Amino acid sequence: MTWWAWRQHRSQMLAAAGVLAALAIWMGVTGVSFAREFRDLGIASCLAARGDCGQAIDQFEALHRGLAFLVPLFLVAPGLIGVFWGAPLIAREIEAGTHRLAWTQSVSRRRWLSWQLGVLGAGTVVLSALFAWLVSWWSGPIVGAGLNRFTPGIFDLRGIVPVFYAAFAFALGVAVGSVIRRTVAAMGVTLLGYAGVRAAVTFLARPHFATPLVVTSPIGQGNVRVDLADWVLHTEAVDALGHVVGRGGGIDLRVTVGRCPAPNFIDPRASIQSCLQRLGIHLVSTIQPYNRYWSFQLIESAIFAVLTVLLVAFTVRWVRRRIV
Amino acid sequence: MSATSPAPALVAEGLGKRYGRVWGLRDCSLTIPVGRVVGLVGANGAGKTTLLNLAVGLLAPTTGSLRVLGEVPSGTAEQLARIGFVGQAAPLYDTMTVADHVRFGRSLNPRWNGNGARRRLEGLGIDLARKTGQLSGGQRAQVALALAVAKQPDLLLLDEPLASLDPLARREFLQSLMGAAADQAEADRPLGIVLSSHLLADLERVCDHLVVLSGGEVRLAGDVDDLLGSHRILVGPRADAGSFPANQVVIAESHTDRQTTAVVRTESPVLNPAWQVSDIGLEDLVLAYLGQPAEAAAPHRNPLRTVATT
Repeated sequence: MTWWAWRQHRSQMLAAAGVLAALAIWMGVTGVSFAREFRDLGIASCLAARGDCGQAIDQFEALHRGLAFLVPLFLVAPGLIGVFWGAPLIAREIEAGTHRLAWTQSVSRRRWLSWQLGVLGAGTVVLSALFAWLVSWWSGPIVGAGLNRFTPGIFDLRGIVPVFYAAFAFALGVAVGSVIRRTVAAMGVTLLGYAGVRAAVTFLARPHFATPLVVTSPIGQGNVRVDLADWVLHTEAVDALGHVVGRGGGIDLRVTVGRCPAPNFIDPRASIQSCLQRLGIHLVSTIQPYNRYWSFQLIESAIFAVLTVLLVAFTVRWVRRRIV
Repeated sequence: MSATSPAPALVAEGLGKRYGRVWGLRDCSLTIPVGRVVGLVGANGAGKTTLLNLAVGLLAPTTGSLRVLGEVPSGTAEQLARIGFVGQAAPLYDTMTVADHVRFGRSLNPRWNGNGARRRLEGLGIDLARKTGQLSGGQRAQVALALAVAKQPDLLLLDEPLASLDPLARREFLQSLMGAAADQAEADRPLGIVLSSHLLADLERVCDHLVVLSGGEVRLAGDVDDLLGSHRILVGPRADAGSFPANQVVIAESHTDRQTTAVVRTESPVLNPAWQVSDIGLEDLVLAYLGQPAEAAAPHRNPLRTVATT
């Protein structure tokens, strides 16, 4: 049965491997040049010395501004496994009528499904693990240059979570295909479902995996208590009474009306800052500190692992009982 | 005759299958004997495909019970190993070669005669390296048959295998089918066959037992010899159905002003000299039963039920 599961899906698996190979070549070339520029611009040593690397980082980013569009593509990649491997698995059999051939051989439906899921599932894990490793290596310099790895969008591409995203997408595709039984419709629903669940977990659940820390810092020194690698959920400027006077690091300057002297022309910024400090205004940041990165990866992986198991269990029962 | 007779190929009691609000099969009670070539006749939508899909476990019944080779079709591996199935339009994987299909059978069936299948297909001139999507309709049907037979089953179910085949392909297919049955009989493993079609002429050549379905219900079932021997066509002066003696059951009748033509079921010879009696062909017999309304209003209209033989 292993041979058949491989033979039936051989072209899909080879196509995906081919895409990954092409990606690996391209990433190999560009990744090496990233690393080189990173070194040449001195960003690595600058960050190690915790100096102000802003200028070098800006240069680096200017060189690679065009690559920003690639990040959304990579985010979709695990979902594509669900769309192209998962959704057609059962839907295509039923649409083409070949289930009347496959399910009348001397194997029970459950065994047939287990082998299909096993072979394709193993392929999913291997491909997504390679993909995750590749992207992690490739984006190392970019992450070092200021996009911290905890940010939504970067967190999703590195570490172990891409493997679990891909497994979930595959299981979702198979389940959707077994219910909908029309390949194209199942592919669409799988993609939307995957995007919806991922967005929900990223924006609604992930900030709350652990109670965020609340850190205050005075105005004027940036967010000194917050590390570059921390995940800042939100930042507010708060006055002495606790009222919010600004969001996202900015301050609504109307609060200075009538309470601050006119700005000094020599150094307007410093005079406003000292006035704000006198008024008791400070920055309050809600963050997830950088040392929670791996526990967050594990929690998110566990969530998607549980979802995957539930979807597989559902599909096995559904196929045995209900459909054609 | 053996002491314990083998289980019938198929026993249905009150079997029904509903798709949404439509009944594909309704109150079907039927016994198909084992080791025969059974023809399942009916118009499109009569329930033939439903019955065969239920028998092989692709569908689950809504009402009633069904036993195939003595067991309820539950999709277990042992059961599926005993039943060969050729679905409607001979489903095959269009992008795979014929040889791939034979290998597919080997990897999914413990009892597999792949060499026999290959020999049979090569004898028919089918290139094993061709993709099945490129084969003609007749060749696809032959490949599907070869796969089902290579499993060495006890019962072979074929759902309209002859539909959309040209006459030559039909004849070749039936020859292959009978050849496979003969091979297995020689190997002392008799093969029962249930073959559905809406073309009676083909079935007439190979079948020795007939089941007629219409509107999801069984209208007629029995050995072909018995059926042909117990029905007659009577032509004579105009007469009402009620005027027939009790032992002559009128199945169908047509009247002109002065003449009546009736198909009757009777065990004894017709002695009334007013009638011109002739034997009936299978096609006329089936048409006579198919012409009956679903709810038989008149008391003398009794569809012939089952004839259980071993």
